[in-house]
Amino acid sequence: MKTLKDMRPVYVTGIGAHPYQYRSGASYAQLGLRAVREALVDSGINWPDVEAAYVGNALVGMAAGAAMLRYLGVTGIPFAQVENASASGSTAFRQACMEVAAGYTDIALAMGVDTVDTWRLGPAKAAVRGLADDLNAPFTSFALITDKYMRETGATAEQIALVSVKNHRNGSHNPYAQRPRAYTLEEVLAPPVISGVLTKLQCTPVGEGAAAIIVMSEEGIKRHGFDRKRAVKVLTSVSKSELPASEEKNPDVALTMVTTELAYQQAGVGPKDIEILEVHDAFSIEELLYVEAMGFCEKGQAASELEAGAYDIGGKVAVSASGGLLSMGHPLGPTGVGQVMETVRQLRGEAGVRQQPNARVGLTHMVGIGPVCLVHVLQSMR
Amino acid sequence: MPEDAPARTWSATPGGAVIHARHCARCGTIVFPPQEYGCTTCGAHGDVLTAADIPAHGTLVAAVVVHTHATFPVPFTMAELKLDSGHVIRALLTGEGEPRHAARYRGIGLEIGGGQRLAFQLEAAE
Repeated sequence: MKTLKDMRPVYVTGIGAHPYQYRSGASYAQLGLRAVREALVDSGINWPDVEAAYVGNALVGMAAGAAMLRYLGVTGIPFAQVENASASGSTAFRQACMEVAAGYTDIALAMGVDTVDTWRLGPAKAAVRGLADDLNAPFTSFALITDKYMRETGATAEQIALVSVKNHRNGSHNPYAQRPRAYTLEEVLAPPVISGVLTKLQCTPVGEGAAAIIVMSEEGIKRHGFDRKRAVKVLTSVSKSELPASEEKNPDVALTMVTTELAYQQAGVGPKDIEILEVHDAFSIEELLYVEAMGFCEKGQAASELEAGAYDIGGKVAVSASGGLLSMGHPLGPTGVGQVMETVRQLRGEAGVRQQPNARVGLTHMVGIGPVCLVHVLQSMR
Repeated sequence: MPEDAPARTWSATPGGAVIHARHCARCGTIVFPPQEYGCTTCGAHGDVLTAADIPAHGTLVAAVVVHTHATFPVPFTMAELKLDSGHVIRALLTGEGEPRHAARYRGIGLEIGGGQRLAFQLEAAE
């Protein structure tokens, strides 16, 4: 089996986004085109230089990508729209990387765009129903997981809420964040309570936005004279789906463990090498579960490590320096692409007050309904 | 079973509530939720999948009070239970008092939110 390491090297050369925001009435095309144009400028290329495009979204609908990209000027390149629940954008990025790595093209676009819309969930159409699916919304599912975690580890509700305090503090410095405001612990714990101990500020805001990435081969970089020091190498891309039953009963945690371990093996790195980590922190508890699953600390230790500052910017690994899904937001299609955008900004040393000092290697992680999980590892070329 | 109608997931019986599942004769998995598409462990389908009932008895793993729902009256309590069969399920909790973790719970039919629901209550409360 081949991995990215066995194929042509792939580099991120351009990043761009439309800020994530609450429903504004803007069309998805307006959001998406701004993100792509910003990424093209960052990459120093023009739209006719792009040879393939993958558009991640979960809500907009059939043929939305093609109907948007034509306003950059039609060029006849191959398009595909990618839907993979919350991991749609991560999957679009993976497709673009594979396209370039395989040698089909030298320059590809990966982007994500979504606006606030009705969720038309495929699984509901399969006519398979559990006991109380309609009462077990994601925030309740994660509230139950939080209850279990607190009992198993002794972590307190306050320690778990500190995830949201940290991520909003990071996001308050991110111009692309949907909730760009710092909150105190008291504010995070204050009502409204949504489910269990999870308050509103411990649940991601699902809004609208767009994010875009340009990836290039060595040939693409040479052709356009791109500054190699600003290029960020994609060391690996791993995608997994539901696993057979294992000892770890939380499917997202089990999947994160397996996917990240594969990514470490393929990239030749371990958790000690990762200085920047963007995780799927749709609910505060998730960050703690996943940093443990990825080996950044022992099981049950994440809450105390977080409290001690290990996951702050400047700590051993900056987790959700962008603000994560809790502060930057989770507009579905763009989210995974936005994680790569933040990681690239950090690895270039261009993250301003959010900068993790001396960041060399970063990891992005998304899970989605399925369940599915995608992990990418990126490396600075500075 | 028409393909567009979900299979019924539970029934009240004189011996207590049971949860409907499917038994896979090829690999032995008890598949829940019930469906006839195929075994989620080995992929077998057709006649090898037969009806199997799981007693609605188990221990409470986690419980939370839910304060937000579009249509169902709030607050209500949702629980995660480990059934005696080994299956882990999410279901409504009913009864007075705080949920008791690791205590034994039993499923009953309950008229709530405009319909019949399977809800779990403390065994001692019966």
